Amino acid sequence: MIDVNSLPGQRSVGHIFGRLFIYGCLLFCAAIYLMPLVIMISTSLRPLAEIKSGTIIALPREITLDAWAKAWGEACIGTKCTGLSSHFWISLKVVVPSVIVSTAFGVLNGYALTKWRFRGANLVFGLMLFGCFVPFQAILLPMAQTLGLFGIANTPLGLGLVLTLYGLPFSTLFFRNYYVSIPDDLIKAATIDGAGFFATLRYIILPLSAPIIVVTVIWQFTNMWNDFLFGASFSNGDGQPVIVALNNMVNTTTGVKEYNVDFAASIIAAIPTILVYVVAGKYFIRGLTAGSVKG
Amino acid sequence: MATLKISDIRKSYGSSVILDGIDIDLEHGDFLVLLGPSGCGKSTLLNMIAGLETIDSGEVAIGDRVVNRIHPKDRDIAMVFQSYALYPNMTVGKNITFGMERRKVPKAEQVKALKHVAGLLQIENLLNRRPAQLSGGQRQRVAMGRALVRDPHVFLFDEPLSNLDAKLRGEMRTEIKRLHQRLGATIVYVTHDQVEAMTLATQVAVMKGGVIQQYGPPQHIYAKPSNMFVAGFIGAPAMNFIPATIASGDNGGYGLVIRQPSVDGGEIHLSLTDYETKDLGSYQGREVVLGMRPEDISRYDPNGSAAPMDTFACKIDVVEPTGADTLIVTTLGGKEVTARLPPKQAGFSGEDVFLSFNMSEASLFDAETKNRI
Repeated sequence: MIDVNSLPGQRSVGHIFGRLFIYGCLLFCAAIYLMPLVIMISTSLRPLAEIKSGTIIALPREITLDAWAKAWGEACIGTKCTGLSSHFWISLKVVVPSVIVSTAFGVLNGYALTKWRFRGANLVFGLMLFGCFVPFQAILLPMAQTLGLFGIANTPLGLGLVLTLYGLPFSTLFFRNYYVSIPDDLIKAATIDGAGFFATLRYIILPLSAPIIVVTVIWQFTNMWNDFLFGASFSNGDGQPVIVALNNMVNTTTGVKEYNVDFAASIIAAIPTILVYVVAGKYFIRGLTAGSVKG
Repeated sequence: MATLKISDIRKSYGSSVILDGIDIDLEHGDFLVLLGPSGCGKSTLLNMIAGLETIDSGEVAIGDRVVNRIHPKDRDIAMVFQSYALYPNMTVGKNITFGMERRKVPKAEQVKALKHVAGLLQIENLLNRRPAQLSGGQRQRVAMGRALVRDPHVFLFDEPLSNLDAKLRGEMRTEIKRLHQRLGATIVYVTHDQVEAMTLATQVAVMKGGVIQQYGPPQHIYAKPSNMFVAGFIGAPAMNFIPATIASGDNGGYGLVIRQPSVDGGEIHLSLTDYETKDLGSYQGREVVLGMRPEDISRYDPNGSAAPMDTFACKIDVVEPTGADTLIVTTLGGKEVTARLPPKQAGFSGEDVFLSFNMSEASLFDAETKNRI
């Protein structure tokens, strides 16, 4: 790559102004992006009285975690006042297994579609790809009927099943596209070495899959955690995931609007996805840009 | 005992025929090179021997056992791939022993075999590295080590040297030859490089369009190519093809006439008394193609000694020094003809010289069927 700062004949006044302009733009954009988060955090740390007496947008004069405690354990959702905590755990209970299952099937599907090609593999892949584009709304009613038929309507299991099914096309697509770049000769060599379908997967393919597994987990986790439509449709009452609960909590119209609690609740609901990004983020970029696996 | 016997193998994808009746019979210790341009079916044939491709019809037998329906892992073969196909996530040592691990070979035996192979290929100091940390030549060695450690009935090499640079390729070629001499193993080797075929093989199968064009020892194929494709494919610079006519000679034999289309015209008369096929009666007066290797053309210097047979005058068009030899290009019968001469005899472009053909090494081809006469 060319280092644009060290090209000859670059140190003119125009160049310096150009640099200033570029950095100015970058700083401006960064500030715009950061603003909502800063305001959310600062507001969530202010007592309600302070917010009411002044403007919403201001730095806290007095820092308190009361709003966080209330959002977590005492805020009213509908008629129950137990905060987000129980819904938070339900979300984890639904999303974590769904992510694991849909990623695992993505591995298997991608592997079978690229390395053990069978008659009609392309058609199968095409149909699975089609699944990525089916709008959520289109399947709400048939899915509700199906879940009812299985007797798992309004249960975490039912919701998890829906999320897993919707995650499958994407995880298949991710793994399939990644595995295409793994040379077929590796599979041939493993075959001659005596490794079958699953041994090849276990010893050759999986150890090469770390970047794409990270990408898929982040993608699936974020989508499933943030899902609202399925959560609102296929769960009720205590079984609602945290995003739906957050909505219900913020939209409760009785009493005073507690901005600090609402903001704290929003951040709580967002923490897991932020954590996943922070922990796995650098692999995310690496996984997205990882090219062929060089032997 | 036949080590590898291939009988009438056929394969087609839809309407395109990949292999059209291949027969090969190898003894133990043979080094067979499948040589041909890309798309000739040589890699497909190798994959069929390995069991990685299905066979439409015909039979592959390894060590007296028909393996058509036997899984690759049970065929007693080992394969070296063009891309090396080393497992990127495993160390060199693991790469080499993976096959034994899958076969549940006892640990002590694995260690012993690994040590032996690593010593053979001089890769002892690389065993704990990963493939990504190796140079091309080292990867090549590891790939061979993975095959050698199995001690199989037949080794299969799929263009193993084509990813190396020229110098390394030469070194690895010598190494493969040395290994073959030392182990006496049976090897099937696919390449499109005729130099590799000439240097390594005990038997060469030149393939084109799914058919073996000629099968035999490399020197025989070089000296007596069975058709113009084989003649042109083997040897660099390629064999010269000169249109000529068969005429009856002075003493009852036959001769060859090359007509020069240039301004000064004229005809070059060559004798065919030494040619392998004595009865050329059916070709008399017909157009044929004379095949002449560049090294079978020499320069005659008229310094008083009697001119050898089959000498004629021509003009040098281009001089190309290559170091050991100098190539000179002239035009005969409307075709460019290259001669390989010692540099001191080469002369300069535009010079009028006498060249003589060593007609005992000549090949004649039918102009229509392209086959050797």
